[in-house]
Amino acid sequence: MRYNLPTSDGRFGRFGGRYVPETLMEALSDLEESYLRLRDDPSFRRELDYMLREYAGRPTPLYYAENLTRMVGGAKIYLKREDLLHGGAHKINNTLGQGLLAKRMGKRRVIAETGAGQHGVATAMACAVLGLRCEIYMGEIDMERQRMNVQRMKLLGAEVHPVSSGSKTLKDAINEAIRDWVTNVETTYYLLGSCVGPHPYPMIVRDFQSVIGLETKRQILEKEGRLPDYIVACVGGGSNAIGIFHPFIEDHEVKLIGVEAGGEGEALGKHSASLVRGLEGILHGALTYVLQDEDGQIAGTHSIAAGLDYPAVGPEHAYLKETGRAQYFTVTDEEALQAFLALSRTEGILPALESAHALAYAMKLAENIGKDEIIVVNLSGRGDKDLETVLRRLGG
Amino acid sequence: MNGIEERFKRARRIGRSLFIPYITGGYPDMETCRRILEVMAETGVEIIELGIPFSDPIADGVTIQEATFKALQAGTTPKKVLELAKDISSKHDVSIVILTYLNPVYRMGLRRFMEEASSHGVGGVIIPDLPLEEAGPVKRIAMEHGVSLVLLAAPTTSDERLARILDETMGFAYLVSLTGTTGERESLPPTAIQLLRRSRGLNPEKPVAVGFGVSRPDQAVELARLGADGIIVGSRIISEIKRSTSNPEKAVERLVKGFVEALSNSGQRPPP
Repeated sequence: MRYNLPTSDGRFGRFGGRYVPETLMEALSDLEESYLRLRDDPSFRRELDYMLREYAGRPTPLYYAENLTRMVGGAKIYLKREDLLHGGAHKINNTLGQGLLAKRMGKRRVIAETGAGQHGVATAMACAVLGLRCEIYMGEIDMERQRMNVQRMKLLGAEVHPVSSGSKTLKDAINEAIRDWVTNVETTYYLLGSCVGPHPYPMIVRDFQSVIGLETKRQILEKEGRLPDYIVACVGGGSNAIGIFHPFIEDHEVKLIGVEAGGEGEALGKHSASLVRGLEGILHGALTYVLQDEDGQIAGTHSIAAGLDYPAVGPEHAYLKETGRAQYFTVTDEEALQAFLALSRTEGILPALESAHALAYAMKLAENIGKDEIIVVNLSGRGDKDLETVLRRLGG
Repeated sequence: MNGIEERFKRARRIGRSLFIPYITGGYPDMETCRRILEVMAETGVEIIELGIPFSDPIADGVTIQEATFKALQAGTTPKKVLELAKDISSKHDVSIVILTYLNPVYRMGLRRFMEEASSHGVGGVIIPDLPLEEAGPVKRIAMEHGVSLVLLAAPTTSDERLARILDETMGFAYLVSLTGTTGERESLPPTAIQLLRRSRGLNPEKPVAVGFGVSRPDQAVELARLGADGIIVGSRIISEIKRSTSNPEKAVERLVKGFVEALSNSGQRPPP
């Protein structure tokens, strides 16, 4: 059966939907309508393809990590090099797509949330090049942790609004962006950075990120003459993972593995593993898996990787988990750090700590399966942004 | 008596609009909150909106966010707020309408939540992140338990949707006066007046209450004259409590009295 989700009411099985204040309902319908119209519009496609190629640097290589493979001594490990994109992460695939969409919809003011600052930077870049006004919401704690990204956003012409409510991190930045959107809905485009939120965002973000999986498929067929046995990607909100998974969903011989942040332990508040340890719930407009207490209050989260530090996950991942089409596991802070070091030394690539979670799982997996098997790891971002964190951990 | 719609209809017959105060359950602490609710019920209020605090209140402005945070820090739970509702509704002739977000309801379980609401004397439930399209299953279970699920309409709601919301909502429709979050505003937004006119035009029967941004009795009176059956005031009450640390009950009493009297003296509601 063809995989054709979400349904017209934004459902992946029972997950997803549109749980937002009434004020936003017409705006979400407009967005959906505009997107569905432009998605198949050749001039829109042409413009986006041009920007992805000439500005962002697509296609990215699918690199055979021969040294790492030898070190692990198992299955062949390939890296999809999203870290080589402009801005240093996969985020630009989505911000260029939605930036063009905003422009075609006649919205000149763009708002976005950011956690680690990667989506904020990618949004600021897209807005600068497309001539859009850009305002970014960022939790005060994240601004402190990621000072360089705050400076980058400002240099790129964005205004950065500190968010001091709640836990002062990504979830609160999203709350504040939604509040801004509720207030300025008629003039403003909300450029959401992951495959979360109300319909149609999980679909739009997935579609713009699917370029990762489409390229991977073509590249692996060229190099190996067959599809990989495993695809491994890290999952915070889940946009890089859904981007590489989606074109393979109907290829049942390819196992899809999402890796969540196991942080420092299994207790609530010590990790960000919404799929592995969360409960069904509603956050930021979607029914999905959510880290929460018994009263339904959203829990605090932790991860060494700021980009994974989010208490919910895209509803399509909730569906893929439930149907068993994808499997989800956790990797701890320490394991991610070790993978970061291993890749740096064997291949001369500093991976983002987020991507290092996928890598850590892939290395364990490679060891335990045959040498003739193939694993593709989505190397979603580069690790330069994480140097302070890594050095602090190593020094301490 | 918990018949919310009956209260509005009776008020309409005598040309009155109802003042509906809001307080976050457990704010500033459980005991003070209880005394404030008592005072509200004794000051001629027929319907009280009582909040079950949720950690991520996306429809609320800074004032109610802070109250929510404080109430949660003080250990407020959905169960405790429901107990509070039971206390007040069993002692006074007042209808309690619970305001909360969908996740706490979902976590308790839709059926259990509605059962508990019903057995605790709750007349209605308002869930700002539950729009018309997603409301079906919640409404069905609410109806089975005799609880009204109140839907919201906003200035951005098209006429076609507005007609459906007015048709589907139970008890009354909650008209969000502006595009934005809760919080006090200097003047009544023109969008409030337009939405009120559209609603009354599309469905003259269904009671409507206006909320978000209303903070003064003269604004309430203006809305009443334009046909609002109820006027909901939240942030103004929360900030009054915050200001009056020594005797918040007294301060709320004075404030509520001001609204109730202004509305009962206005007496110029257009005939239904």
